[in-house]
Amino acid sequence: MQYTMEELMAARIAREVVNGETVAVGTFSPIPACAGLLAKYSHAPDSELFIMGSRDWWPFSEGSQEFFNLAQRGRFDYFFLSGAQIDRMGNINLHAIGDYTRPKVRLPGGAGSSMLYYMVKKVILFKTDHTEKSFVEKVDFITSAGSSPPSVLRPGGLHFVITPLALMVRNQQSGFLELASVHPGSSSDDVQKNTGFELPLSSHYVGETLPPTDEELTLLRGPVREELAKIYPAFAKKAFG
Amino acid sequence: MGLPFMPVRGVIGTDYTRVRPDFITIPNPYGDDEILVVPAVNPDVSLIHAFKADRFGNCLVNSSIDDALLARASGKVIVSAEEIVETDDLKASHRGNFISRVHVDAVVHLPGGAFPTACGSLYRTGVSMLTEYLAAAKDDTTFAGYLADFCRRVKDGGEF
Repeated sequence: MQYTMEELMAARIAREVVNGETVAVGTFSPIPACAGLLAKYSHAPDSELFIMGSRDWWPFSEGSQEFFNLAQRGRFDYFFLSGAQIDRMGNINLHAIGDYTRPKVRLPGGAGSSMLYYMVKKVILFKTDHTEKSFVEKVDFITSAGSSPPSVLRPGGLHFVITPLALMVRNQQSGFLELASVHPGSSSDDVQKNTGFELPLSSHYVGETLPPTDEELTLLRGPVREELAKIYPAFAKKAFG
Repeated sequence: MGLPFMPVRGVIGTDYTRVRPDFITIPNPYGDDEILVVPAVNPDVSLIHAFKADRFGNCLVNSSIDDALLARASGKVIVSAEEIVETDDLKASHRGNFISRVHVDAVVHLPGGAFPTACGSLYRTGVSMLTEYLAAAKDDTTFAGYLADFCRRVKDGGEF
């Protein structure tokens, strides 16, 4: 079956979730919300899923502080962050392009990301574009850090980075991002050309990302889309094949 | 909470500590790690939009955001509400977080008061209105025009 890039990214993320894990989705994150729902409706029915902005997937009564405090206790297995820039070290920038004091573009800020990236076991970075401008050698402002001093409690960190072109993982020795798979339709050369830093093949490189299966697409276009329309109506209209 | 600061996990190693000298790294007095402390946020005034309120200031607010926390941190709290009801009605309602009148200084009856943002399941985000606002807010001239036009169009909240 033909599929959209959103469907491929959601399906790839969903496959990571093990039944019983806790998946938390923040604001402006329709693709991760799709992934969480797809996992829940397929192989991980006993997983706990929280989606910010949803009534049905929000079992909290004390506002977002209750959600963030749960994260701060280390209770989330997955959370999803993005950035206007992501760098080679897995740092993200949600603050400013250019000098922070005289920015070319002022961005919305980090919300809880500077805590979540440290305290959520597996953080997936996602981005809906993949260009030299968005994947840079060094971010202009570190809103949240891919690595931190050993004196700081950090049970969590980067799991992988997913974009419309590829999936990248961190080399544990160097701390640098490396290529783990390339989505169908792109090559590792294409990915390198659109990345602002050297992107070697990871020792975990598997070649092509497995595209969404017919079963995954049926779920995505059925129950997942239906749920998503309640939270992200504009996305639900355009993102599915 | 009446406390001057709060410890927060994470953050150390980011650029927050570069631009916020008031975010301070201290040794955890009860552990082996280092931890960041941040100053309390104490707003002078909070404006909070409620689903329902009574005339004493008791109200029910959206439970997915931190209005109840905000009310407890602020010097003065002004509540606007979709509906003004009797106290018994408020207590019987299951929707939303309860904020006690203890924290509230004034109540305003303001149906549609959250628009163009959404209000629970009562109404959704006014996308076209926000899109118009975003386009106008790109520079000072267009925004001044937008404000003038907006004030001319909308004499009071009822015209939403």
